[in-house]
Amino acid sequence: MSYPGFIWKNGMRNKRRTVLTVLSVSLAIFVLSTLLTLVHEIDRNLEESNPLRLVTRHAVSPTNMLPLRHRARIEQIPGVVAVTPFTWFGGIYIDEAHTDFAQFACDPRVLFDIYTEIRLPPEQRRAFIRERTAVIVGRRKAEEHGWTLGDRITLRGTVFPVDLELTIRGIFTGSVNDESSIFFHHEYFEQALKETMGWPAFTAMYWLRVDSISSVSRVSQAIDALFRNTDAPTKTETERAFQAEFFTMLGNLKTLVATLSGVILFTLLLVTMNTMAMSVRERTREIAIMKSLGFRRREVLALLIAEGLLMTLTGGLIGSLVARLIFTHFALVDIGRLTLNIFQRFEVTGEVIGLGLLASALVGLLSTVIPASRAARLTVADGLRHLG
Amino acid sequence: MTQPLVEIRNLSRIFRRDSVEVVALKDINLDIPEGDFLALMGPSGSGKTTLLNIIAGLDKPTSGVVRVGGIEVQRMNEDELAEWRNHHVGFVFQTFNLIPVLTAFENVELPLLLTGLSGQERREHVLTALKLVGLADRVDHYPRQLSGGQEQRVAIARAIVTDPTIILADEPTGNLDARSAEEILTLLQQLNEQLHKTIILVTHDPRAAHYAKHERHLEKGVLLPPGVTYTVEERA
Ligand SMILES: Nc1ncnc2c1ncn2[C@@H]1O[C@H](COP(=O)(O)OP(=O)(O)OP(=O)(O)O)[C@@H](O)[C@H]1O
Ligand SMILES: [Mg+2]
Repeated sequence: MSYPGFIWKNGMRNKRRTVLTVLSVSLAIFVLSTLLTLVHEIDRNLEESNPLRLVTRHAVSPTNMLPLRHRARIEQIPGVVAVTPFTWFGGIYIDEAHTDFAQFACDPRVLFDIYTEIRLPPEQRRAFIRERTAVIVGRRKAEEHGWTLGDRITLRGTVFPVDLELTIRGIFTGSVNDESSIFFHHEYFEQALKETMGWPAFTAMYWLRVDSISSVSRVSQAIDALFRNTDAPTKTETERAFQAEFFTMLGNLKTLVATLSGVILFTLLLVTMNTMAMSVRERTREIAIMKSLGFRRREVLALLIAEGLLMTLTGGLIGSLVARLIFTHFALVDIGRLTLNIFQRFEVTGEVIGLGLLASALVGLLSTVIPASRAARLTVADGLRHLG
Repeated sequence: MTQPLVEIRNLSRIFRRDSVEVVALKDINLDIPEGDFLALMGPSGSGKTTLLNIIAGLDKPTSGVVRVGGIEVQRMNEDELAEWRNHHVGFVFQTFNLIPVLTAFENVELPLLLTGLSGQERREHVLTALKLVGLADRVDHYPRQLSGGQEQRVAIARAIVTDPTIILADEPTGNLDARSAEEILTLLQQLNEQLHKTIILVTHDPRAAHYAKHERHLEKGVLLPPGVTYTVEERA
């Protein structure tokens, strides 16, 4: 028999209790991994934002629209490289289940100057610019929906009372929400609204790129100053600030996640502590006998803590690996649909798994250390009297 | 052998709980020579277990001195005591001696984990000890698969596996039927006679005392002179 064998046998003495403890740790760490991944994905989205990209929207609310005439005046501000009107269409493709991508109306002639990360073969780019009803789609979505060049897709308007008939003229790589958005002509969108509803042209936002970091705050202040006293005042900020604001619109997610994680870990700690206290108390006499055989306090302590760690680390490993399998490996959950296409990817990274294991180790350590040190400190004479 | 293995001088042990004082041992003086088999007898509460615990360093005397093999037991710190016990003391208790999740073999092996012996060496020692107590065929049995007598024999095997200087047995036959008790006592006698182990046997069974070389009696914490038997009181 070796020490690990002894620890294992002790851990398995009450199989049902051990299994239940391991399961509750797994469950808690599963939830924790999910929450951590959520935070991680938000951070990743924010990190991918381009610091030279600015967003201009209505100062009052993002649901207020801006007139198209702003564009020419923004373009004249020194430091501005390119400006495009930009509207999130939010239509339905076939049905809700198939609508797992974001749809943007923009100006194809400047889109690539602003979204410099988009990769598109030159002939596809020309075809996209040339044809008013052309659309380019991200490679990921093209693969998932089986789209090829020349395919036609129809978007049924929900936010805007108009349907759009589009022809796929390009499949892009690079990023923009993990190659899962689509872009089409803002002019086609304006024209469709005008023809069916008689609405005047507008845009939800302007996206622009400036020439250098030093221009960022000057340009955004200049834009907002320009329209301050008009009927359509603006608010301009960096892409990152804009996205961060968007995520805070969902609630202060990070605080919520941190609070939830804390509550989960604390509850887990209480449950595990109770189990370990019970498990150690039952063994008071055995521990006294071990000490009478020459086991020292620290050896008894180490054996008990190792047992607690074995249990919680097993649970932690199961919980975080199951999260990885479900969300990342087999993608059993459609995160895009679940989050209204905010997240296209939900990757339970090695870092998240590491944090999960760290948390479970901490729970194992903390829950064992108190009952174990109490038991280890008991004198043999007192321990032996326990249960005669 | 001039110096006794165990020397007890003016030993007292007083338990204080709140304002109540219990004098468990009062001014004990006792020498136990090496190779002795001493039966320590006395009614319940007379202080037998307390004396055994103090000899083994499991409890500290209120006053007085205990020397085992020339070493003052109460002078050692906890770690020194643990190591000393591992090398020099073998214990057998009345009940629940064994770790229930370990086999007979593993129970006997337990004190050897603390030594530097290799797995192979440990195995040899364990099998020798189990053979000595006549349980070579029960090596892989768990305590719940053993009879009370067999359990005690495994406990004795564990007590001797480290080749200790002294074996302390606290009512090892207290929970056994007459036949199993006889087997255990015979076994202890053999260990004493053939392997020259020094044994202190605590018991209140007068028959058990016949197996020992000497017997001494305790009464209300006082060690009676040799040959004096404690008064059989309310023992019906
Ligand atoms: N930890 C303790 N605290 C208080 N009193 C104690 C403690 N341990 C023992 N005593 C008291 O000391 C006295 C001697 O106890 P001890 O256990 O040595 O008796 P014993 O001879 O072994 O009895 P038994 O035959 O019942 O085992 C008893 O009166 C007991 O109540
Ligand atoms: Mg006793």
